[in-house]
Amino acid sequence: MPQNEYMERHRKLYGRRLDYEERQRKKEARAPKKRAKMARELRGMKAKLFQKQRRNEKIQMKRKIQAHEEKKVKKQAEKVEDGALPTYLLDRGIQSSAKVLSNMIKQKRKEKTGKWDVPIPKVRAQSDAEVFKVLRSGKTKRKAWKRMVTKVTYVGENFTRKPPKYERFIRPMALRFNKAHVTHPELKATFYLPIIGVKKNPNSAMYTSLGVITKGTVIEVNISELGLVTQTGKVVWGKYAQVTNNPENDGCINAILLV
Amino acid sequence: MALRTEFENSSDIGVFAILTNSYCLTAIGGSEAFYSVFESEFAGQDNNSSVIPVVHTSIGGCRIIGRLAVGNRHGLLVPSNTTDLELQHIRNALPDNVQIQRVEERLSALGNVIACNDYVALIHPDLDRETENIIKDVLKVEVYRQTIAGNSLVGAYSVFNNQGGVIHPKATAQELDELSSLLQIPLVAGTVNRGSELLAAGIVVNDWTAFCGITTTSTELSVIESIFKLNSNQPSKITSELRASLIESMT
Amino acid sequence: MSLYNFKKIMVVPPATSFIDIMLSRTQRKTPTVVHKHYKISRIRAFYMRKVKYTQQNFHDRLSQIIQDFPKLDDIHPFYADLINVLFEKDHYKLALGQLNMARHLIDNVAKEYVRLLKYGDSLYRCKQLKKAALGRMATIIKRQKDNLAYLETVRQHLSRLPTIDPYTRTIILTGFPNVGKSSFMNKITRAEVEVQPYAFTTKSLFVGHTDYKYLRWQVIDTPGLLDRSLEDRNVIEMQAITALAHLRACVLYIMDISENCGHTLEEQVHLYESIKPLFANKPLMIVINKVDIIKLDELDEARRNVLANILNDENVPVIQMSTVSEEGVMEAKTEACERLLGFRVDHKMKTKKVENILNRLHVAMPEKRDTKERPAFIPESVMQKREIDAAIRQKRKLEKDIEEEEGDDYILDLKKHYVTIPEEERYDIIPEFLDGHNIADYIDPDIFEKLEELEREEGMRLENGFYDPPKLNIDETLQEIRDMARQIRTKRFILRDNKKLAPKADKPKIPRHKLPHIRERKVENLKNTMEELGVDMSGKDDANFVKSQMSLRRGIAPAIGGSIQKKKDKESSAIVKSTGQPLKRKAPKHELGLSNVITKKKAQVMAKHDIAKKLKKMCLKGEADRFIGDLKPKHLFSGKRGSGKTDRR
Repeated sequence: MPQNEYMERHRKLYGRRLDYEERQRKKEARAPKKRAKMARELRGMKAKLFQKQRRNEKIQMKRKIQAHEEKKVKKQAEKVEDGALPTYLLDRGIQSSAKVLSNMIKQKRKEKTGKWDVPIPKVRAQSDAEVFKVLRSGKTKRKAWKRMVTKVTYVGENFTRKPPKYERFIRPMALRFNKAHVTHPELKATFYLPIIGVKKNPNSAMYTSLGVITKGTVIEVNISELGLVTQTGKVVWGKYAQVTNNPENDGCINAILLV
Repeated sequence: MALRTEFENSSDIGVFAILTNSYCLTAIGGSEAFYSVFESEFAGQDNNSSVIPVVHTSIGGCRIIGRLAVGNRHGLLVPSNTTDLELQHIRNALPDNVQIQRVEERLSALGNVIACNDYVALIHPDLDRETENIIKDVLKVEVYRQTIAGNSLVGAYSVFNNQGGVIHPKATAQELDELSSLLQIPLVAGTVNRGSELLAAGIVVNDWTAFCGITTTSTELSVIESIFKLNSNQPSKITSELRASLIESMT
Repeated sequence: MSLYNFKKIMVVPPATSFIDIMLSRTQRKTPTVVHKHYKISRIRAFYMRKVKYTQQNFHDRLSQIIQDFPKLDDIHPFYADLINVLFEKDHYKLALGQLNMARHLIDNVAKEYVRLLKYGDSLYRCKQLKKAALGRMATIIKRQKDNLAYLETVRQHLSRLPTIDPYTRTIILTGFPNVGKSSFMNKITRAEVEVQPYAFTTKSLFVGHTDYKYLRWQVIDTPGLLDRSLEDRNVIEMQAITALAHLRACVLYIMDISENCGHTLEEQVHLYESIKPLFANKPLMIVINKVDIIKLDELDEARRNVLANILNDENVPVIQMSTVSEEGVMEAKTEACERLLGFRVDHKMKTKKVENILNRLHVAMPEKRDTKERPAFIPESVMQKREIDAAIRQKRKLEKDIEEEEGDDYILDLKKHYVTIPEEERYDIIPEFLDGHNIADYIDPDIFEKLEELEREEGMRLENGFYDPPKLNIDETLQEIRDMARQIRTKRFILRDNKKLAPKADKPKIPRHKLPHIRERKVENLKNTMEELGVDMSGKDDANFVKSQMSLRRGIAPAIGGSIQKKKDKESSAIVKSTGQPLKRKAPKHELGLSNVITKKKAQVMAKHDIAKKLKKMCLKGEADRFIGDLKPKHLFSGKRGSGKTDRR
């Protein structure tokens, strides 16, 4: 609820300044020049922001123009001809329907095989040097048998550390994740679901057993929240999903559900 | 009439001026605005004369003359740090029937320790006996050693002319009665300059005019006007007409 | 002065510029150059700083917004209700609550990413993490787009709310639309509320101030009310209801007697009855407006009957006025102010506060103590001046005007007003000193006569024994006591002075070799003292009182007597020059306390054994070997320090 609209009140009492319209017109006329000058003279971050904004504006403008033009063009209504088709045309129609059929079969096949296809088939190899950091131990720091995992890991709930003297692999608390953003490809929706385990890390079996999560790793997530039901009527609670991002760089795990 | 005025953005005008029934002293300021307030108020009928002389002066090189010196119609007392030149200037400027005396007194801010009208003076209890005698002779007054609401700086916390007076707001009714019969004038406890209790700093007054600091509220001003009998009102107005506004503004 | 000022709330930026502000700030205020060959800890710190700094900025700005907006539970119920009416309390609270939530989320994001950054092992990875962190913070703020926009409009409108002090003296005008509330307001204040001949010209509360009895009065003009139930009232009317409900003020219910406003008298009376509960415990007045069209007496019977109920109520005075012809306007104002003042004073008299100011309401009248008259002294000229009309009096040229005229050339002329001195002598220069005398000391023409008289008086007093001490008769014992006392006193003074003169231990002393050389012992002095003691010293002028100096050559036997002594070492044969005595030295340290040769020998043997033992034990080369094998023994410098000693671990 507006209060004390002093500007409107002033305008009502004393009116606008006399050259208001003129000034407005001039201002409008100058606007493109001003913008051009901005585009020329801006530098750095501001220039980037400005260009991006301008680009968006232009796209909008073009769309609008296009929409207007489409409206103007009169669509020629297809005239359905009465009566039977000529013989030389009959053949065509049959052919096209056959094509549709074959396409459908192809599609189905593709889908069937696609079920076991993963979205990211090729994974960049991760060397041990990249994944593990050597920790020196011993009184004089001579021994170098300890390793620290520098990638994101999943560690089960009931895991207990070995005594530090014997612990070979250290998985830092900061890098342990137990939830992932999982996208359902058909529902086109994303859920934040708890991880049950690491099914397979394509790089190495050791990474799998350590629970290292990198791009392309298949993890098992708890989807009981989604309420999916199997054909027999049971609630599905564990499903696989493939990680699509580099969790150690993004600070979160994004995965796509394998259906 | 009581006028609101200020001295160089300060509302403590009583610090920079002395006003009696026969003369007026003002400090030498950066501009003549303050002086001209008095000048125009005491202007005579023809162009150049004035009812009472309004004189620029400094005392001991200071402009806080209102706190350093004290006087009434009969005389003027200045502290020991007054220079010979200043004394000469004041002598030249004031009429001859005003006696001017320099006082050797330890409490040299005479304006703060002495409050007087033309008949009675209240003084600080620690003042010298000799000073007391000088006050008696020069100002031709009866002298009483007094404190006001527990403050011994009687000159700072009270202002009175021959017709009435205002004193420190914390003074009790009993104290007011006592002082009133000493001074033989009606008294009221009040404030000036939006609640300031330094009355002498906020008010300069003689028998027909008063000046107040610029921040004085209108209730304060009306109290001052009626107690000093500056208009047709009687002091009793304070208890009758002004009572409601006073209660309303003070609580 | 006012307690409630919503004008100081900071601007709430829209979400996009909010993000821009924050990110560009991070860019400006944190270092921007980093290279991958830097030490990894430095790279990590670089990016962590960026994340933390951004989070802190977001946090501060959001906190500022949350704090700036008034909390509805803390402010005066009038304002709380007004805000509820205007902006929906629930929406308002929700918006602030969500901002608070966003602040928490941002804090958590920052915490999480700083933790991840600690394990970043390359510049690339750190940079990616930073980017992700800032991106997530920006997303959180982007989601608050609607809340931020809402709060910004609320802020703009809050800042334009009239400054109403809910505790001060207030008069509220109310009534149907178009009955003349705003015209009355314009008559008694300088608020300049818009007046138009249609309903709901006034859409919000307006405040004006007026003076009465040396006090400032707040007048609130409210939008008109229609006669309907509370649920049906719109936002404009609800503002008026809020003001009526929460402000302890004098209410003026304004009625249009001419029915020009489009509502009949019955409706107006009905409205009055229906909102009467809001007027409980408040001074209330009914003002009948527009009497220039029709007077109360001229009403027909039916309408009079409608009004009868109101007119007969003794507690509620009815005043007629017309804002067009201005009759009764001032009466209405005066009456309203008087009633409210009386009401407030009555309330205040019941509280404790009044006791503190009772003395200030008391005028002390003097009791006569003598017959002396103490009239006021007002010069004749003043009285005359008062009589002259101010308009006739010509404008006098003041010192201020002269100063303005002359500008920078103005010099204050102190001597201009020496009226008693003739014009030609006024500006004479008088020296301060003349012939070595201060002019000011001779200002009194008969100062010498006065001095003479004073001196004469003083002489008389002296002659008459004015200053002589009075004589007392003292008996013998008292005299004795006095004598003793005097002796004690003098003794005490002497002691005190001596003590002052005596060199103090804590004072710095001048070293002896820097003292000026004063020879105290002189032949003359000796003679004098001896003569004083009664020894005859005449004829001893040639006597040699000075001791002859010893020959300083060593090894030569004194002239008188004895065989040549065995030459000792240089030390022992040294002789002090001034006294001629052999030099005495302290024994060397290793011989101290050893009386004879046997003990000396014994001590030597013992020392030798001890040294040998030490050498053997510590594998030293000799007595002077100070070799320390291990400067930092492992067992003293490794491991955790406990809370106890640090030397043994």
